[in-house]
Amino acid sequence: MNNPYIPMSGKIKKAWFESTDRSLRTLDIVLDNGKMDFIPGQFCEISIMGKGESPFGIASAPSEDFLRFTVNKTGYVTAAIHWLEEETPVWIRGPLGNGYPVEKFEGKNIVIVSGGFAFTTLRSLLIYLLDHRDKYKDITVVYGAREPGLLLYREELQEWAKRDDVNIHLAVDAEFEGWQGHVGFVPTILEKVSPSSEDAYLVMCGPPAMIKFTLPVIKKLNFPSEKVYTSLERRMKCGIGKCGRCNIGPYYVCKDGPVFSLDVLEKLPKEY
Amino acid sequence: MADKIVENIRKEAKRILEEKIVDIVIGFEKGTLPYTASPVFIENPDDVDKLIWNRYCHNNLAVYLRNFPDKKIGIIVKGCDSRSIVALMAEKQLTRENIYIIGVPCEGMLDKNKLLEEFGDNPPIEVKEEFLYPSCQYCEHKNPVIYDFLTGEPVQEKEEEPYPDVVEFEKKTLDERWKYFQEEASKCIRCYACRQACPMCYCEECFVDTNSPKWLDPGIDLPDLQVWHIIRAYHQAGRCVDCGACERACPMDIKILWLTRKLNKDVRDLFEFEIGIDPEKVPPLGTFSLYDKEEFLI
Amino acid sequence: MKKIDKKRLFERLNNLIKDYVVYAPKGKDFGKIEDTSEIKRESINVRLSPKQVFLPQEEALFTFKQGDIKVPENNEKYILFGIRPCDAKAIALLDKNFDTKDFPDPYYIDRRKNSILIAEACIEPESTCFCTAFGSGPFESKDADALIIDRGDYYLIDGNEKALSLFDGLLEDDGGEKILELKKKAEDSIKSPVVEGIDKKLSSMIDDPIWDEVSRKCITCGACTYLCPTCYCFDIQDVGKDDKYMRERVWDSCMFTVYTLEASGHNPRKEKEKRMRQRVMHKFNYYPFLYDEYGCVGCGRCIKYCPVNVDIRKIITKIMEV
Repeated sequence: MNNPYIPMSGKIKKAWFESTDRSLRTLDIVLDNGKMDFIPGQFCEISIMGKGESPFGIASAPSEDFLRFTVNKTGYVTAAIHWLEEETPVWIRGPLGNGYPVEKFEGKNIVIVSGGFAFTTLRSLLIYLLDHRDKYKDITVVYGAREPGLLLYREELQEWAKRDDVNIHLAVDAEFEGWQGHVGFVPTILEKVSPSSEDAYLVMCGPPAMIKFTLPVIKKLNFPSEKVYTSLERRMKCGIGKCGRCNIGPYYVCKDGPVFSLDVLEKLPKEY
Repeated sequence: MADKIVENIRKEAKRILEEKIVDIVIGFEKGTLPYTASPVFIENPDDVDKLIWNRYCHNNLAVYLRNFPDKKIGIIVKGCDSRSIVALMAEKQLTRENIYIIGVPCEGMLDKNKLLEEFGDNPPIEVKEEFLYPSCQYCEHKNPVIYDFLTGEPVQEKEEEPYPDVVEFEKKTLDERWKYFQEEASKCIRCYACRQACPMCYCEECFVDTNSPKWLDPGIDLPDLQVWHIIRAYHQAGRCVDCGACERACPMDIKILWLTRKLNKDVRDLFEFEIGIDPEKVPPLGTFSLYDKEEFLI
Repeated sequence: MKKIDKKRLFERLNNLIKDYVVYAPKGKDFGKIEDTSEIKRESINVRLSPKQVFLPQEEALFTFKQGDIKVPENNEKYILFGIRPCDAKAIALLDKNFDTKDFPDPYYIDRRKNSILIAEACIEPESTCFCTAFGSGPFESKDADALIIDRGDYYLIDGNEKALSLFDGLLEDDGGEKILELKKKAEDSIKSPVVEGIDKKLSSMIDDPIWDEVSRKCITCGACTYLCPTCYCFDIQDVGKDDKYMRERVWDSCMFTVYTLEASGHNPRKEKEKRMRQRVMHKFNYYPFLYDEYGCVGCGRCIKYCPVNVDIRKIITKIMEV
């Protein structure tokens, strides 16, 4: 029997501070026993032996030869992860969760809406969509942060912005010296960009405040709830739907999520 | 007598609800098991007939006072519960103006488990002292120390040494005491019913729940269980009103009262302090005085 | 049905202790025995339930030392003697969470597949029993490998080959003894609340004010969940032991505030009414949704041991009245 609690070993190939405030650290990890198959939107549990495990969305795309995670320093395990240097061994369990329904998205327009450091799995999704560009119609990205230094993967964002097969709209909350993109909160920019909901799916990840104010805009743009997806976060332990804590109604965020469509969430207790 | 008390409690509860002196009254209703009363929360004056009073009203209702920060609360208290209120006031956890206290002198509460064992489901008419909860046997404050309304005749307070059990226990050898503590602690399943039943265990974050620093490991290794009980007791030193709610709440029947009682006795002997009498007096371990005894310094 | 002499059964059980880890009622609680003389009941059912055999309160998932992960091996065989039918059913319910197709839990399954459950019928159920609410009963045999019925000097016994073969050579003809009346008497003594349709009903009661009402007196300790035979929630933590680390699984409870507390400080179930809702919903709505069975077996432990007399039967009745 495969033991789902046992992590796989790997090594940190690269590690750097992602944001200028040094609260976010990105790790590129290579597993000792080859590549991991996964779907964008899935997550892994990273172990620091002696400290514990924490779940992180996979920020790399399946086509990349490393696993990327961007870790926000908030607690005990994440602080320990921030201390890890390149070439350190790490332990990983995954892939866990359901991931974005990329097959359902085929042949459709895709709108990605994100704020702050919630962009991680959306990077994975965006690269996946670009890897299979002919399968999808228009791709629009609206991504904002408090200030430019808090946008994730800034160099890549600039590269993508240059492409003509994807519409990238970057925003910061307030005027910032040298900033060329949009200025304003994500909901406002989304309304301004006003992507068509026709034949389209919308994927949204961001802090609770952004989600709260973006939802009415999404409704205004006529996206039906079943075509809006979001990825949820909850305190997790086992990651395989057994330990009980991350449920929302009868669904476990770790196993049946973290990706949920809005119409499913609307019927469940607001326990997230 | 008891009927008169119930009648008075209901009348007074109705009055203070109707006159909007309070928004809610915390009292007891009939429980669903033999020898059981259960906490009840009355907001509608028409519901006051649910309120009862008998010798099974052992819960310390003061534990609920902090659950209603925006409400004016009426509460029915025994001697020990009233001391909890005073202790919480001394620690600035409650505002006296927001609480209306209905006091009832208490002859001691009867131990459900002892009664079940002795009489099964058929309650006796006459009950002897031996069926009292241990905390009630040693009780020094049967009469509420603070109240707005009192019903029932004051009960004669005990005059003798209040800690005969602790005095006896202190006579045991160190090994005997340690063994006893180990046996009791080993029964613990860490459900924290003792903590949750205690009005004084109000920390926003309990030391067992933090992970940085992590004071003790999870699980039921004996040393971890002992650390839990020792630190819990120490955090109560001189703050514990000796109501016994912790011991009665324990589903595993762990004898934990003697730990806090020993510390209470020490605080009494060292600092001449007793908690829950004067709301202006802060517990000695919660304050600093230049005149603190420092006999441990050489 | 067969008949088995009590004395001879216990002799055999004593012999089996060589090959099996035997658990039985030991006074107040259920525990491992070294000799059948330890078997003793202080009440109809034990306080700490048999779930501890398959889901111990604390166990190592693996140890970690110098880059090496070691998983503890377990080849023990278990006999659970004298568990009550409700607790046998509880184990069948635990199976649904741990023995799943997608992520079978090896620790649980290793112990479970090597276990024999011998249930004992409840001739005189307790006042807190309400197993009949969930289609089970004091004489229910289907969730155990065998059911024994106490008849004084002997037991009546029925069960599968696995269980009965333990007592090879000891089983006698039951002489046509009828237990129907005994069974009916036991069943009739149980006063169960009506639960029919509660699962569907709860689906529309997420925001009902009832949760505030039924949770007010709850002091949010974990006594109900730790003593519950079907509650399985656990935590995983790393512990430093001697010269190595251990990743441990330990019981946890949805009644605790920290259970869902996130590192950011956000807590989706901060309010106790939400935690009470979770406990009730999990048993009476989520479990039926996922597994077509209620997650409560009506053992009554949560009622009996609650420090403030929160009575789940009363909560059920209130829900049904809404």
